[in-house]
Amino acid sequence: MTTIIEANAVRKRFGRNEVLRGTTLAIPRGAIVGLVGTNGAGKSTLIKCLLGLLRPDSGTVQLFGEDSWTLSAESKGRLGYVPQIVQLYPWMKVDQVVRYVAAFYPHWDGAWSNELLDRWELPRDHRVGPLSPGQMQKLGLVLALGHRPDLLILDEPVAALDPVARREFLRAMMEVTNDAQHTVLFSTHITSDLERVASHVALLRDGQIALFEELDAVKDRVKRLRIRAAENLPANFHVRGALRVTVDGANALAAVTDLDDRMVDELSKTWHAEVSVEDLNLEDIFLELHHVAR
Amino acid sequence: MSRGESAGSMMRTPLWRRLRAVMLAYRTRPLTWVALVVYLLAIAGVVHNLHDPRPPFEAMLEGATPEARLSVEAERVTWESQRRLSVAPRERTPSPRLYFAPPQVAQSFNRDKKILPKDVRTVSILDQEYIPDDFWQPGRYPRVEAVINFGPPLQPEIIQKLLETYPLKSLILHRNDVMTIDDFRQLAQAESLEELSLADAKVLSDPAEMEWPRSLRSLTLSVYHPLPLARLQEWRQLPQLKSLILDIPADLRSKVLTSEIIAELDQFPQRPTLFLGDTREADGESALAMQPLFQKLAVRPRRVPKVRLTAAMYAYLLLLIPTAFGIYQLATQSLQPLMILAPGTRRPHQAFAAACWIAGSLVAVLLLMICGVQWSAALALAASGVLSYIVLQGLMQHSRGIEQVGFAHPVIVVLPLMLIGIVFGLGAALLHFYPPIGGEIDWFLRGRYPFAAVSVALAGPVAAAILLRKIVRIQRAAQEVGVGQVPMSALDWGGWNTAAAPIVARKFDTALRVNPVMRARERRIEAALNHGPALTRSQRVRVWMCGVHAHPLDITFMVTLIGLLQFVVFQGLRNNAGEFRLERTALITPAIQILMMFLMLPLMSLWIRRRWMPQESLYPLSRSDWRRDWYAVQAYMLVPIPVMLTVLAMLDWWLGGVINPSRLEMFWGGLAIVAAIIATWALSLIVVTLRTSSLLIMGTVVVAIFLTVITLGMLSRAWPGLDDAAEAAFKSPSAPLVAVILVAALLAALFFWARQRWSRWEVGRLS
Repeated sequence: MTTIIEANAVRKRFGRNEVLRGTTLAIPRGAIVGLVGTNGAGKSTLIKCLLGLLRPDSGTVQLFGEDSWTLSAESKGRLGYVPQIVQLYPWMKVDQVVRYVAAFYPHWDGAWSNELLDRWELPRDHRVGPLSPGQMQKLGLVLALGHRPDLLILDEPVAALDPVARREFLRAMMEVTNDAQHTVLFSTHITSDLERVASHVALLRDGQIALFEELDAVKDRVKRLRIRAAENLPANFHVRGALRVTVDGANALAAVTDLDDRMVDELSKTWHAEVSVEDLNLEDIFLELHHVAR
Repeated sequence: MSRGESAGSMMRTPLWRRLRAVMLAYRTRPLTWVALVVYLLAIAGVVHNLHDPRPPFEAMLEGATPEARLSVEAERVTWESQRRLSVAPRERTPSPRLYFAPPQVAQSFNRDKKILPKDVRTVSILDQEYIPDDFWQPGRYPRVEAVINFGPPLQPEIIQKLLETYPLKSLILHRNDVMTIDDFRQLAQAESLEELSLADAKVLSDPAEMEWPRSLRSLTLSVYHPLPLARLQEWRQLPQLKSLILDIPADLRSKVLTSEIIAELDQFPQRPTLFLGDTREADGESALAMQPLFQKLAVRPRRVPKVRLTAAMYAYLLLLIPTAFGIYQLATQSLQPLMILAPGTRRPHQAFAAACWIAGSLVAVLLLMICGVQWSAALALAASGVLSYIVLQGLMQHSRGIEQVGFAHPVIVVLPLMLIGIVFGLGAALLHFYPPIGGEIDWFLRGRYPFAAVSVALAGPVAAAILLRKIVRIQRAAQEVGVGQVPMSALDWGGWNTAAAPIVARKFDTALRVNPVMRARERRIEAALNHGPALTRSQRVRVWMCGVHAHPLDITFMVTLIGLLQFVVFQGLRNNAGEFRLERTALITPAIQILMMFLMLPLMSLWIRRRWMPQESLYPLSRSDWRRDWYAVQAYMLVPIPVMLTVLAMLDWWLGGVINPSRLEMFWGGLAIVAAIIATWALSLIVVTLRTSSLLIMGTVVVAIFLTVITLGMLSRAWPGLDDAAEAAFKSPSAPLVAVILVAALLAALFFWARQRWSRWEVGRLS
């Protein structure tokens, strides 16, 4: 499978603060990757390095097989980007801004951008300055999607959107990328959105990619065990492969990876306990994984 | 104490604890230290510039040899001309000026200017023997209107020929002790003569009847002998006499200006201003002492020290730093939810702001008093300065908040308090155009309007305190409508129509939207965007220009408008004063403005645009193409400079060469413009590509400016011959070649640097 984004051992430091510490990531064509991580984990820095807006101190970054720092015009023409805070010329009207950006793209899809403007009820004859943050975000998305990019990179794109607009955005994104030829990387804190659209999830922790897997695989792999023992469990109660264990008398909760039936049987026999297996949603998985980091 | 107040005070920690916490917050803020360093540097620079005591010329002259006396006299004249401001209306000596003197001397004065006889407006005679014969041909020098004689006394027949040949408006005769009453009779026939300056005219003491031109507006005389009343009776008959300038040594004044003379002068129906001059006097104090003797006439020194005027300006400008810092901090803090939610937060912040202003005011007052400004005037200036900066910054707050709180109306009430500060603080800037205002400013600074000064000094702080409270409320109101930050972006023209924009900006924006500039801008944007995909560089530049917040054409329009406004103001001043030189300032001032505005344009544009650059850098262009596009856009914005300067040069030519620079001046002027363009271009690149925080950049620029000024000042002080050496270097034949090579080398270095810089520049840091 063709790799669209390839970051290899990327390091980036701002003064004394090393944000990226050998980040390695390879995203195949057609993947929709949700990039998650705590605040300050370095998601925006990684995205900027991937886009060539920041230059890594060491390591390599390639987009479409090219060094992202010296990306060619052709590759940039296949790229769409929405920053965390969309900044646009406030004196221009919405329609003018769209035409302004379109002027730089030889293959701009005017009908598509107009459809998006209508769908998100963006007033074409209004000036950009007084638009609300949510409207600005929508306009930023129109500008990023208007040329139907092969690769779409979004830095927390829905943070300022209302639920309706978020759904609309996800729908539009799916429309653009439903042919498995388009690739999307987006950072977000809203894991429910990520679950809805992402094919892969990447967890950035301590400046490194701690996890990069298909979403379904992650959800299959991480489970929660609810243990009810006959007697009180010891304080050092341990479960093999556990991300975290919480003990409360005879009860215990354990988040585990790579669970198999033998482990459940073993726990059950050893501690004369009832052991039930529960699925975790992505937010819980995210929390459990981060707990390990602490 | 009510129950509510009691409960409220119980909810608060003691004021000293809150103050300590607030001070800690400000102390640990880098901006505080940057502001403090800039302020201290500014104070150091001002003190350094103002420190310039008058050497004891009189003591040096006593007992000096004749040669040494000449040297001291020359030094005194130079010192006087540099440190004293002549506030009497200027002699009317319009440019271009031609010197009649021995060839070498004339060449030295005329330099290598080629002045055509038809353009000459002022003739300076250094030696009447060298007046060319063709000067007496009617029509040969059609525009001559002023004559100055620096040389030996002009022969009566020469004066007669002058008056017969030319309709002179101004005649300045520095050595005319041979003039007779008959000569004056001839002089009186000059119907257009408005200004007459006579030095050492002994005939003035003659009690016999003399005649004077009826059109005289300004009369300058050196008087060493008692004036007969007959003279005054004659001057009394001059209907347009507005300025009577008498150079009388202070120790002779009581003999010259007897009580009869004073009574007579005081009854002049024209009410001319009486200017009393004495080069030996340090600050014209004895002239001021004469004022009480007059009931109706205003008496002013002919020259006043520049130091008080410049100190007033510096003190006024210096106040900006602590005032702006205090109010900006207050406004920022007032927007924070903590200010509203945490009990008792507001007062310590207000106290901090007030402390900044009080400290700033004390520094300003101290500086002014050291420079000889009377205490009440110093206090008034400081109070007015602080108030005007508070008002200015208050008006820059959120318009919605201002409307709710009603900030604008009190501002109208306190306008007179502010005007005193503005006029007297910035008056030094007006001196170039209208020197007489210097006399009025100096009059005020000496404490001659104590009631007005004390009123302002008392009312200013009260008004400031009221407005200070309102500013906090404005922020609160702004927060209620969802404004989350203090708009310090006066240059952010695009945001002027938003609710968060300053009220002034919103009003201005509304005015602009209905004017042709905005409509033209819309048309330009539409024309650029309707073209379709921008495939070539020229097409792209047109599209990029849509993102320039102030298009060069807009600026051109504004400059033209300002130029017209200036012209009207100049005309107004000219009609009132009639003695200052309009012609050069009318052209040179707009030229400098055009240069400065256009030079700043790329810098401002890049600075404002930096927020959008990360997104724009991802448009489908290679890094090098993108860089070249930006160079082209920068260059496009500088195109109006040569165009406008060419227009001005043509206008100058059409007006008959009123600026009339020499070739050398043109070369250096041109080179300076090229160097300035390069420097601006480099600065704009530095500002944008270096990124870091705006604060650091602004701080660096300010510090660099102050450091440069201080360093240059110290250098010239340590090496008195520096100016002469620099002038000699400029005039050396090889200087142009060296300068061209240096500029070319600078240009090459900058290109190389920029190329390197851009290849490593991280656009992502701008967002």
